[in-house]
Amino acid sequence: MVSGIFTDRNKILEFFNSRGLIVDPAALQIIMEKSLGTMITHLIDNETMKSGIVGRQNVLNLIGGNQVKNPAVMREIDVNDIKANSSVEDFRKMFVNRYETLKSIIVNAGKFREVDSISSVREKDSREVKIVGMISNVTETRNGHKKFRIEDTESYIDVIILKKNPMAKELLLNDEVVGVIGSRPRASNDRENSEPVIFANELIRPDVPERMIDDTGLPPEYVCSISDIHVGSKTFIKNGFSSFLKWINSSSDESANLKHLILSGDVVDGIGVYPNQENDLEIVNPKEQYEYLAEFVNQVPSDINVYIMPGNHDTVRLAEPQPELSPAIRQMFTEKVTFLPNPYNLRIKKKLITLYHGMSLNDLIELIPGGNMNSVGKAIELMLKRRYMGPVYGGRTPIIPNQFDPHIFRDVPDIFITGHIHGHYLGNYNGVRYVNSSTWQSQTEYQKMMNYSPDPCIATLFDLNSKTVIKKNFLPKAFSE
Amino acid sequence: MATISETDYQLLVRKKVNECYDVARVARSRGLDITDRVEIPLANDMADRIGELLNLKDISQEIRDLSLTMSREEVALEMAKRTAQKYSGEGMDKAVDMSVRVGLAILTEGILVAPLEGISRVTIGKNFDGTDYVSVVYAGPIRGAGGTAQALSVLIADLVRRQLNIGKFQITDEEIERYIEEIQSYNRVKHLQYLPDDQEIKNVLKNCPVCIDGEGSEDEEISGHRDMERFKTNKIRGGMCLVLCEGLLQKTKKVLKHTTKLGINDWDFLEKSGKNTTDVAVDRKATKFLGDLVAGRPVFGYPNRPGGFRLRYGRSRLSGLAAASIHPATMIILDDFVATGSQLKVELPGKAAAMTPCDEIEGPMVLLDDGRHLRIRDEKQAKEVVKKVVEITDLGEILISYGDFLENNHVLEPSPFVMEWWNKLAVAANVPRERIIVRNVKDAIDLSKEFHIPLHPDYNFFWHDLSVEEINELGDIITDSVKKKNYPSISGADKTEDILKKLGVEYHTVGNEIILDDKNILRELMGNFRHIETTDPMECISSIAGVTIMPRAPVRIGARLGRPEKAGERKMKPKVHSLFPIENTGSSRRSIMDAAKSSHSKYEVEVNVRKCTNCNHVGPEVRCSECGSPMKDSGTYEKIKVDLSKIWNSALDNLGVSPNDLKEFKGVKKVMSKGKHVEPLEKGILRSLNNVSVNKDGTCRYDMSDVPITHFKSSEIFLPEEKAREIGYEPGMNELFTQDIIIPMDCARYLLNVSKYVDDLLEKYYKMDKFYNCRDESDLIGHIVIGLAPHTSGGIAGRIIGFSRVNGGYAHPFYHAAKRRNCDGDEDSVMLLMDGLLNFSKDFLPSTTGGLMDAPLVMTLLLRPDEVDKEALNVDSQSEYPLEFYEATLKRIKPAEIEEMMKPVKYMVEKTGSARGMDFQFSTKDLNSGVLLSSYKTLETMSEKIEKQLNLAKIIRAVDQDDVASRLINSHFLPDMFGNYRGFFSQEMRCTKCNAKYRRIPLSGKCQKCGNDNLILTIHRGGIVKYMEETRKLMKNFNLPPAQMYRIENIFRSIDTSFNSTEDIQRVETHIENPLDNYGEIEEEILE
Repeated sequence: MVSGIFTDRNKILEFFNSRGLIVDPAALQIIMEKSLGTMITHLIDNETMKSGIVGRQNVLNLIGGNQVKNPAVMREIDVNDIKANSSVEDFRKMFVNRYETLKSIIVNAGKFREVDSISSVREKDSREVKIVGMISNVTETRNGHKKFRIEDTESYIDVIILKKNPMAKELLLNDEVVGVIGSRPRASNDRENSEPVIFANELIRPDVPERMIDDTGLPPEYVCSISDIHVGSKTFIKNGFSSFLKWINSSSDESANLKHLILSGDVVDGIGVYPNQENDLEIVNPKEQYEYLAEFVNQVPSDINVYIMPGNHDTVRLAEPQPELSPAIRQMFTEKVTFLPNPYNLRIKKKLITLYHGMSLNDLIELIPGGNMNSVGKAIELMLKRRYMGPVYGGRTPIIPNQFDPHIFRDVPDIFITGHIHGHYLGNYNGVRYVNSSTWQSQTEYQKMMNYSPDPCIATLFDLNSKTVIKKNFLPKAFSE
Repeated sequence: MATISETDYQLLVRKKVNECYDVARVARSRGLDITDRVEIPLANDMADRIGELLNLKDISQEIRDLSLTMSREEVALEMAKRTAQKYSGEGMDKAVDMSVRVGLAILTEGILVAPLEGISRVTIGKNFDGTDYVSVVYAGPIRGAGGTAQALSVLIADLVRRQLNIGKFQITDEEIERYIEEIQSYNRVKHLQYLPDDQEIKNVLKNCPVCIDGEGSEDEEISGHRDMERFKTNKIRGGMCLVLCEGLLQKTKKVLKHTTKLGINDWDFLEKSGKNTTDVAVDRKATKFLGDLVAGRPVFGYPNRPGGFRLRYGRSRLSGLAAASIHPATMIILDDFVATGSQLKVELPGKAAAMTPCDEIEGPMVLLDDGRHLRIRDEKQAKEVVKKVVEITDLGEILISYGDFLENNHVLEPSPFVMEWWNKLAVAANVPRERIIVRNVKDAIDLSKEFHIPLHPDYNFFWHDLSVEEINELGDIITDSVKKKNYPSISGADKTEDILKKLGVEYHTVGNEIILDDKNILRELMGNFRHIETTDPMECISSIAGVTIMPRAPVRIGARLGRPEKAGERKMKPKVHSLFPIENTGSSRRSIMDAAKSSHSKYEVEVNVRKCTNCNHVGPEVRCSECGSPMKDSGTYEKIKVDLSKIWNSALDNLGVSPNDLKEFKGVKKVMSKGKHVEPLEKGILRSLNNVSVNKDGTCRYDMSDVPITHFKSSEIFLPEEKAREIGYEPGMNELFTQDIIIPMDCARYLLNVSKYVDDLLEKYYKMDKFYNCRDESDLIGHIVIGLAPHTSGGIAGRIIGFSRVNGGYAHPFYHAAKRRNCDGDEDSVMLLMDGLLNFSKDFLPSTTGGLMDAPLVMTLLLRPDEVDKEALNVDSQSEYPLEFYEATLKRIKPAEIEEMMKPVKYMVEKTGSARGMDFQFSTKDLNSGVLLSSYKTLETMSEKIEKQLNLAKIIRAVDQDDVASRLINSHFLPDMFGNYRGFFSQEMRCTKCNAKYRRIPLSGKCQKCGNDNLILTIHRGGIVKYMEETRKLMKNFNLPPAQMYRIENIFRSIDTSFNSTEDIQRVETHIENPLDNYGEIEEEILE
């Protein structure tokens, strides 16, 4: 009787869903094929509970089956299957997943052995309360104290940070998840019906633990990051890109040790991204843009793995997560090219390289006081500190509501790569090396209007075996005065 | 003429106005209103108005004296200096502030609120070197002042600054960058008439001695250059952008004219900027009317394309001041989309024009489904055939006056060869009188040969639309037919029909034969056919015919439907009868009756606090609801407990009205004015009884599109003979007095109700005699209204003399100009004078910026032609144009060069001080002819409108249907799909129970206000899908450019791969709203 349950596709899905897990289609395929029956209960373990999904690898591990050929491109989840429904509940589940995941990170970090539920905190006054919640309605009171609302899955309460507390100056974003340690005073008599509040003493963010980048002493193995190539645009810097490819094909030490090349989105200029874009295009047909890109990329030597991720200019859906480019486009490229969704956790040689095109950077930069397009480093660190690379909800970056939000940094990356902004910014946050990769497009009309000068034609090389990072500039002379 | 003199007319108007004031003063003095005086002061002239507007009565005489010798602009500068002197003791900022306002008030004739609300404040700031500077902070309503006044206000600030020895403004490089970014952002949000380049902005900012600052007026913020020390707001400062770009930079010449005269060379930097250097590209303007194509508003012609509206010069008695006339049959053939009063966006001479009917010009030419190709000559015929039209090969003529070219400073385009012109040539060539009437084509040719004048226009075709090859081809066909004695039958081929359509020849078909209905013109002209070696079709046909043939339609004017005409009572949303605040006690319908009856009839609300002089009762009433004694205004407002049911009952008692007499009675949620004054409930009760609603200022308004008229027939305006004489007119055709208006029937019905309301008010509330005593609409004739336009705060007295069936207000061009309106699609309002005097109070006006706009802060009694907006002075006044005019048009000269010869009404006003004695060239049988209600307004759904729009694009020869479809997709469908797509993923959630909105769904899924767990989406997928279907339809039926196809595929793919395709989509019946439909005016201007 029990085994009967697990031969039905829907029943299997229901089984995992009831435990808050999603099943990767490839994993489901194997489960069905191998008639795993009750064995699948073993798939509910620490690893799957933490990630929220049952992946193909989990199933393969269970049955001790074949190792996959290139573990780097194991899909955590098929992004194509993430679709929007007209359901409020989907929106809620997305935020609950984010809340639960980030909460467990905060709790596991140590400061919070026990967390109070907000509904219990609301009920009575207390000298010390510890809660974890998602922020909204950040305001300033009439007297200059900071005030915000914090929610868990059942209730909410308002939190005040007095202005003399140095934390009051910190940037609080809507929808970020924080731990709050503070007091819940007795409601004063004259305002019997007033809302309870917490006076916060301390705020705890999920954050990235400090760590060292290990230097293995092995010969270098470089991962090269470039982004925003915008092939097809009149402002695509052809010469710069050609000389980059010439260098890749050269026998210099650096290029010889280059094993991985990552293109993190906006690889072509696309069409219809903004009104009247066709006036700025040299190639109007997006298919031809990719063909032209393939002409370039296919020149990369075959010992280099190439990874292509889409961005907001590419011809996949605009809403994130974005699936990999379509088969019609993929077949233009040689086999060494691997296509990734956006965002993506790429694992190479036990290193985690988190890739995100970076559409939400625009939204975040605006929220940084005094922020502008040059504040991209600040914005990236803001993401890492909050363990979330997505935007504040309601901004200009559409995200498809789903129970598994790939914008969460579930694991701390060794390298974090973004693009989109067209500036080049290299940094290190608590041992996470990060880069906002350079573009291969010269200043656009829009950027001119926004008074922003990009840093085009820079390739960034990360050594997987040491902390070495190298910047190579391929900007043709004509552009560089 | 037996019509009374202008002086007598003015006496009549003055007497009527004074009667109203006398009655109103008595009524208001009874202490039954929030103030005891009539709050609309009378002004005799501009100087009076300015004094009243600024509440500086002592300056009126000074302005009057200076005006005797100085131009208005000079008076403004001089008065500003004097004002600065006067106020210099009260602080530098006050002195500059007052003088800029005085100057601006003079420049805007004391009618606009710009001097009050367009300048938020003037401050004295510190430069980084420690010196002082003047900063003028502009606000949104400065827009109404127009570019010149905006620019001169900066100059005034500079003059005063010099006088008071305040330093110059010194700008930093970073601040300049901020301005540049801001201006570009503003242009994206609101669109500027003139967008300067960075260099120009830099040049002005570096040199302008006064700081042009502004209130953050837009929702959008700038993204770079934020949090600046001297410019605190990060929002876009709309007022600043306008003054800098559309003011200083667009009107450099005006500023320089004055600085040169004043001998100030600080402003010479302007010589290098703005309109001085860059002449706006002409061809860009030509297609501009297409650039902002709107869904559901058809295009009638592409720029200068055969088949479009043909330019004809002249003024009808219903045109001028930016209104043009077309044949009533054309209105009908265009599927009723163009009605009288509808705005057409046009290629030239201005941007837009209101349409009026004229049946003395040519109507449209159409091809019917039975093969007939014919010109439509009257409305009746148009109605008969309109359903059978398969192609509109020619839209007919559009009558535009010389004055409109003059006003827009648009070069004169070549005139078609018309009767007026031919007649003058014939007279000049000494053609005997009896031969000027030409009976047939033979006569015409003989006459031309004998007197060496071009062929008579009645026998002309659009030869210039054919190539020489086509003319030769046609010649062969005609010759062949004549030889075979078949004429007027010719053997038909598609090509031949095409040539005949282009040429504008009438024909019908019998089997394969084409039968020409051309009065033998082609036979006579081409009878002697031989091939001519030339490339010029006009030369070719002239040679063939042996007489000079002139171009019949050298200029076609592209056009599309702009704003549809409007006429309707003003209703606040939702409709309101009384300015009495009931908070949330009246349910969502804001019903005062419900509120008074409910258990919540005592509630707290913020109101002006009044105290009973007898029993110490406190409340918002003017008469105590406890004891009936007067209540005294405490001068403050507070949140106090109001006992509505008591006030309600006392009001009913007071009026002797039973609550059962009222059907509905609605109040407001709260009062928005500064002092939170509350209107006596009695007024609202009587409004409800008479089925009229109240505007925010306490008056009852009727809004309508502006249309001009200078001469009327008493019969067409339903003016009975004896009434006509009574008010100073004769039966038959009359020249209109400048303050007389002809209102729509519907307006008359509404004002009749208002008059009954006013009479009730006088009788039952003020306990006085009735004033109007109107039994039916015709009794309104002779009564006075206040005409008042949005953005202004100065009304003008007008007199009702009759009624029309159109949806627009017919009035004299000078009357419209006195309200600072023209007739290019503007609209404004009327209210009964007595209603305004009894019920208007400044204390009701919202305290927000712009609250003073559209309120009758002052009323001008008599219209002075020399004080109206000078645009009206350019209106034609002659009964005919001289021969030299037509010849001059061929040279494309500037209209100003022949102004003296053309004598616009300006010349009469200068000579006699009056606009009496104007004439016109074209009449029309009835001002009610043509279409009265645009189908844009009768078609219910946007889909239907779009369908009709595309159908017209298909059948009008002058329109490129594929281009229309493509523009429609670009301007509507693509942005809508993108917007809804993005919107879906960042949408707010709403509580079904308490309507609370959440930026993000609460994690608990429950409403934090009421605990309800049913929160719902606010943006639905059905909306997105609907646009996809409409777009697919267009993709199938039209040829779209490849780039657009890729764009569409792109967004389709994005949508398809983002949503779960198996899900049932909730069908949302979406209407593609035109934002312009609901708001009109302000938004429309932004689009310009």
